[in-house]
Amino acid sequence: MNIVIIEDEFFAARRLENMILEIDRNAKIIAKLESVDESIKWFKENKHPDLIFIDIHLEDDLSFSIFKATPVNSAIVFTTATDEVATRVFALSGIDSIYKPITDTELEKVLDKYKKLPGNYSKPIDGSIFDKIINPN
Amino acid sequence: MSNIENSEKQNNSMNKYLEVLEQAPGAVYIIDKNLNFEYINPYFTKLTGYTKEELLNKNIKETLYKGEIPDSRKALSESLARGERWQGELLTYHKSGETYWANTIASPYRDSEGNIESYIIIQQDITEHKKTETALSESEKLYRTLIESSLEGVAITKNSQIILFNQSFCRLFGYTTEEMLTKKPEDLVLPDDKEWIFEMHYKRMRGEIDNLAYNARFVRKDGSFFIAELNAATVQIDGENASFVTMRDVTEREKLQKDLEQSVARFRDLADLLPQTIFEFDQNAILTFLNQDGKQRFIIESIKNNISAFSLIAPEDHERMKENLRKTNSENMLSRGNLYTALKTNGERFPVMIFSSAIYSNEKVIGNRGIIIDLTDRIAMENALRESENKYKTLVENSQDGITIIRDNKILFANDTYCNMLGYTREELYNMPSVATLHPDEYEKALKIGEKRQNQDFSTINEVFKMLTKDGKVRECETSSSMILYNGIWASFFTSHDITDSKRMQMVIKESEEKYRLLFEAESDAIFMIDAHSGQILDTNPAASRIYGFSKDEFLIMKNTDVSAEPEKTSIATQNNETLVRLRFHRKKNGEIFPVELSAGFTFLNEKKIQIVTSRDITERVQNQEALRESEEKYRTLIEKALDGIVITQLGYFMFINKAFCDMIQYTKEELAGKSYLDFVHPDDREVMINYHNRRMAGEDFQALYRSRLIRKDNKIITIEINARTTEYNSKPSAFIITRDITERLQIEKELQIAKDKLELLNKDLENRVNENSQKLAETRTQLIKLQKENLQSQFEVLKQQVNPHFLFNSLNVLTSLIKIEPDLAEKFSERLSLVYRYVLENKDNELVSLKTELDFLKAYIFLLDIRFLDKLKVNIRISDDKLDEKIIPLAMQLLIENAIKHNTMSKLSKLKIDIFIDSDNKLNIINNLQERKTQIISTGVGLQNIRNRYKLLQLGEPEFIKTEMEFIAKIPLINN
Repeated sequence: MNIVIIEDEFFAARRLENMILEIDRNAKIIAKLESVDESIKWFKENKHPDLIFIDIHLEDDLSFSIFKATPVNSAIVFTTATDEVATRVFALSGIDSIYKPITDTELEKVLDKYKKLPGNYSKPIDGSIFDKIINPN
Repeated sequence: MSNIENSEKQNNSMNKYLEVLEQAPGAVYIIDKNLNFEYINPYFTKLTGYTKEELLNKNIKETLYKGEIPDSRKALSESLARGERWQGELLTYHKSGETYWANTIASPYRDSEGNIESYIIIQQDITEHKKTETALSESEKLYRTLIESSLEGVAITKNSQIILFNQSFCRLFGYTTEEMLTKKPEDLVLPDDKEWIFEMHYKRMRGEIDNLAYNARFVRKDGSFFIAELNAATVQIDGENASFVTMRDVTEREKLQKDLEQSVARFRDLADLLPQTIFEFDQNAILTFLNQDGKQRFIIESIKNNISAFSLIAPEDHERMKENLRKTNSENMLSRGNLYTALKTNGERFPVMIFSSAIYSNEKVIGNRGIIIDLTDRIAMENALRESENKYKTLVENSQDGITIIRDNKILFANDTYCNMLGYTREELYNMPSVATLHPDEYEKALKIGEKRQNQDFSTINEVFKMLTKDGKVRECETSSSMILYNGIWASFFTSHDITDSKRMQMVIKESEEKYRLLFEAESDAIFMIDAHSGQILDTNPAASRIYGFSKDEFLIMKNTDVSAEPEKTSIATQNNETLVRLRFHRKKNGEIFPVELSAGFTFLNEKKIQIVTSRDITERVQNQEALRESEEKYRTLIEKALDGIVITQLGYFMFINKAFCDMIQYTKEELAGKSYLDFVHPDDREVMINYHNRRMAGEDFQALYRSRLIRKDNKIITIEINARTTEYNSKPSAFIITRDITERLQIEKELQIAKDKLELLNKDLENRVNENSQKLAETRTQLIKLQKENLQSQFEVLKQQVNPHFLFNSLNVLTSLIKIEPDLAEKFSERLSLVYRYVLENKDNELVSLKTELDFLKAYIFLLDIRFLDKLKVNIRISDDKLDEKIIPLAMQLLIENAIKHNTMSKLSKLKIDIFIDSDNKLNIINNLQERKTQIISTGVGLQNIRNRYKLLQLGEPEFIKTEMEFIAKIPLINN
């Protein structure tokens, strides 16, 4: 399973990477991205992975902007420490999200779920969901 | 052997040795134990310049030493005195005073008993040798210094050893002198380059090739490599071949050269993209570069086979081109655009403009480069422009409208029509103030247009102006003005059309039309044209049909008697040429009979006597007279029955009195008739009455409202309100006076006033009592505020609880991430995290903390942030120690930093920078650069309001939050002890 980690905190990204590799020997972290700009560029130029772990607050913007800028054909799991409103909206919209610090059990559950799904499974994200969580500036 | 024989033999031998001494190429002399010269050989005389006679049997001290034994000889003489041999170099004086160096051997000569009999001294002149030696050492020193101080690396290698090197050489490689001593040449060369460098080296050592200069790559101590230019020469050291190497780091130079090449390439790439021809040619005018556009434009496939720049230009321009080139190259400047006819390879010609400049190399012109601009389009455009200009010029000149162009209130241009219109010549109008052609009434209007133009209003403005001709006549002109570019500057463009004549004509037409309309069409009266002889109706107006109900066609077959209800009277009037009939009854189509007033006139048309009769329907007038009568009756009744007293006076005497007035004043109508109104007025009010009366008599028509007093029949005084106005009664000016008795009302008003005064007194009393109680009230208020504050205090506790769970989770997330990857850091992190939370707990109940405590906490907090964001965030605290005792509300700074992180983006390249310092107003400034996030997630945080509320509670100053274009600034009050 090809996985991309989008996370702007260095140590958090490292840890997630290590945890994934420990749980699933066949998993491959094909990219670790830090910002919205970087991610948009990456998704435009590379084959999309099976699964993306993505933080909400990235260094330059909220990660939602990625999905507004470019189509992403991957399963998506949001990671967040405390964005209560966001996680509730995700739960209601059927989008996966896990709390940070991520626990092995949680992570294993998510990885299992996507391992069992057909290879080309990907559920397009409805961009309007994000508007519910974003404060217009 | 006999003694004699022996002695002879000895003599012979002596002579032989003496001969040797005499011939010896060295100085030999013997001095006795008293230091007197015993023997001198010829070489010595040659060396010293003294003759034998001057020295023999003379003491050395007195001759050679000139008195005393010189210091340089002391070692020698002391040695000899001890009976020891001495050998060394001596500086020796020539008779002339010159010095020379002599290698000297001196030994004592002893007799058979061993006593010193004399001293033998042998000297060899070594001056030359010594000189060479000194010179050699000096030159060696010089070279060593040269090498040592050289900025180029210098080294000598021999037998694969570096036997000498300078500091620069060490620097090139990054080694210290000590480290370099342990290196071999092969250690310094990049492995890839080793083979060929050493091959060349050995060839050179074997003498197969001479000195070499080449570039090669070398390895530094840190493993990086550099490119050096190397000069290697073969030298002899201790009879063996060695390498004398100088080297210089040219990495930078190589890079520059590469950059230069790239920039040239880039220039060419760019040049290829340009839509103009770019060229370069050498001093023989052979093209060295021609961009893509040039190749296409001139139809040249390649410039490889030496194409002359001149072949691109028509032959007749060659001389001029050479001259221009010479000028450009000698004056060292960009040539101004020169115009030529260019020549394509297919023979086609086209106009061009060429800009060129010289190409320099070592301050010498080695060619030219430049740009060729194809003017075909531009010239075509210019022609088109000129054509269109001509067209418009013709249009303007031949226009039937006057056309002027005005700038800065001066006429810049006027066409013939305009000149003719106002009677000026063009020359007179040129530069004339534009207002001079305007009627003074129009200055204001013209000024307004000027203002509009000044305010950039370029809309078209249409106006009618009165203008003045040269001889002062007024012409009325319709003008339209707009803005145009005239010679590149904005100017007003006026077209004027003289409408004076057309207007006058229009007026005439309008007037006559009006008359006709009034007379005929729009006239509400019916008009009939009648044949005076037969009474036949010849024409009618629409009003006739409207009033009588007959259509025009119906009228045309009728006679005048047919519309009359009194036909006989009508015929008689017609025959008698009556011009006015006050009342005649006519009949409408529906049989209705109505009154008309008729006026008639006569005229002749085609020799026929025509009567024009205007018939006015006076039904209404008659009805009105009736109505008037009825209305008069009605009003009279009304007045009679009115509750107000009404009188009409003429010249002050009662002309009409109603019943109400009689009742009011208690006289009968009969008693009042013929009396003057004034007789009943209270004496004090008469003057006012007379005044009004006089004004009325003077013809003034006004209405007067005033109070006055009358005296009743029973002598009681009543107050009345009067509303009087001028009227006409029986066609004479009269006063129409309405009166109302307000005596009773005044009484009530008076009572009301008294009641009101009483009330006010009561109020005042009440107010006093309230004032007395104010002290008590104030006390109550203080208590109330205190209660409010206590209430807020509890809110404050709630606010503080909100210090942020977000932060705890984020920190725990970092901590878990660190535990495996960086256990030591994790330990430190958890220490600081506990410090932060302990602080929060400990200061939970404090309203204020010292800046020092807060800063200690903040540092721990920033440590946590640094780990979390690594180098994306930079917090800079500049607070001097003497401020540390000031007080601040806890956790404000932390909240502001958290806010900055929440609202701004940060990355390694554009860090979020937070500055914390105390400004001159003793406020703590927390400033961050603004790089606002585009979107925000909905948050439940309390943020800035929290800080505001907390200061409000304490009532110790107010925090300020300022957002500029570049920064977010928070100013937090510090509290002194």
